[in-house]
Amino acid sequence: MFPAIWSNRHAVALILVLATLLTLPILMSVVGLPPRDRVYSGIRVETGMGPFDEKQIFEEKGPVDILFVGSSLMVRGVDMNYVQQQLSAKLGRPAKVSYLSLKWQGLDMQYMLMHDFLAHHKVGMVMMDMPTLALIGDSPHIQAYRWMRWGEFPVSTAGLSFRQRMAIYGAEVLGAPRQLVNYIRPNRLVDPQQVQKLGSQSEYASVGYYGGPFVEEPRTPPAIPVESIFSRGEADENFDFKGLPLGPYHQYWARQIGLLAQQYHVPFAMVHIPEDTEKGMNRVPERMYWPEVIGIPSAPILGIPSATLFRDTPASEVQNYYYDQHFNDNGKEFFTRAITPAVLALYAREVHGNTIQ
Amino acid sequence: MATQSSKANPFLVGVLFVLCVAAITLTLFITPDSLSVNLVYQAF
Repeated sequence: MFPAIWSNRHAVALILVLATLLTLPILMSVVGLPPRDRVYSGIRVETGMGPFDEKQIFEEKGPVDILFVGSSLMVRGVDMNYVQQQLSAKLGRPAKVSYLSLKWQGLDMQYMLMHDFLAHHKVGMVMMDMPTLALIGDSPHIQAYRWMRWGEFPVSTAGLSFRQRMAIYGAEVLGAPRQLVNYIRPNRLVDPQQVQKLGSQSEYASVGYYGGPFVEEPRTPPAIPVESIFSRGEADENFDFKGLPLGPYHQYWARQIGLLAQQYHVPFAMVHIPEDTEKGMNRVPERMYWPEVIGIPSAPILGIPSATLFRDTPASEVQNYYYDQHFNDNGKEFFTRAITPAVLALYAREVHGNTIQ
Repeated sequence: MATQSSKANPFLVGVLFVLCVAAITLTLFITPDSLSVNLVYQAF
């Protein structure tokens, strides 16, 4: 039989390869990590809008009035241009609304995007959509190996358990060889038009429900009183906060998000994007009472029960507003027009101290 | 004489074994979907 290890030199070579791969995140941290502004464009465009996030965070300059951070539900749920247009009209000056997102859900991902953005921009208010039942398990985000690097933001991971830190280290080991390439050359240049397209995920604009035909629907929502969109505590009859609780890992990051908002003294609020499975529901389903979890008891949650949002829409046509659990452009424009008055009122209250109109 | 599976110093083989166990153990901590995303999209 041919020996598996045929000499001492062979054994040493294998040891070196394995040891280097296993310790690469630490070695890179000791040597000096490649610039963080190359982290997100290393994410393949097929798996998210990383290059768009990178542009928003590191290339675009200046203050931002409202920053939305969330998952693909938010990207497909809120027409940022419309919100920006309405905010500009209200403020009487050009307003700036930005958003950051990656595919798949995870509060570690949302923390990291928010952290990077706040480090580079002055922000008037942060709005976030919180995880739904689509977040399965309690481990690092699927793409964590792309943007979690050893030694960065040590304070934010200091309170995690050994098992959770091992999970993060495992992700860092998985991603380190790709990060290593950043020493040699920058990430490929992505066409700016493609970056913008990634940001809007416009390929889903006119897609029917689960492959069905796209049916154009009215995009003017019913009149919904602004005050009814805000949650009024844990017992609010329009909200159900008794869903499946997040695991300790994501609850930890929720708390870190709250601390981050407090550290930067930025008003923080949450918005619920209705999914297709909420059809007919009279209450907004949330997994937990988020203000308590993030540690900001006064943080508002904005949400409209699906039954209220679609009260004038025949039940058989509600699915025409979705392409799966996400909104297509019917739903995006419909929901955005319904929620924007509350967003503007919240901005006025949080940033300018005005009461909700 | 039985065929040897290794001609290297037993100590070096031991170190290699420990590293292999460490690597396998670490994969148990990695988010499973991260591995499948890597494979599906050839993400490296």
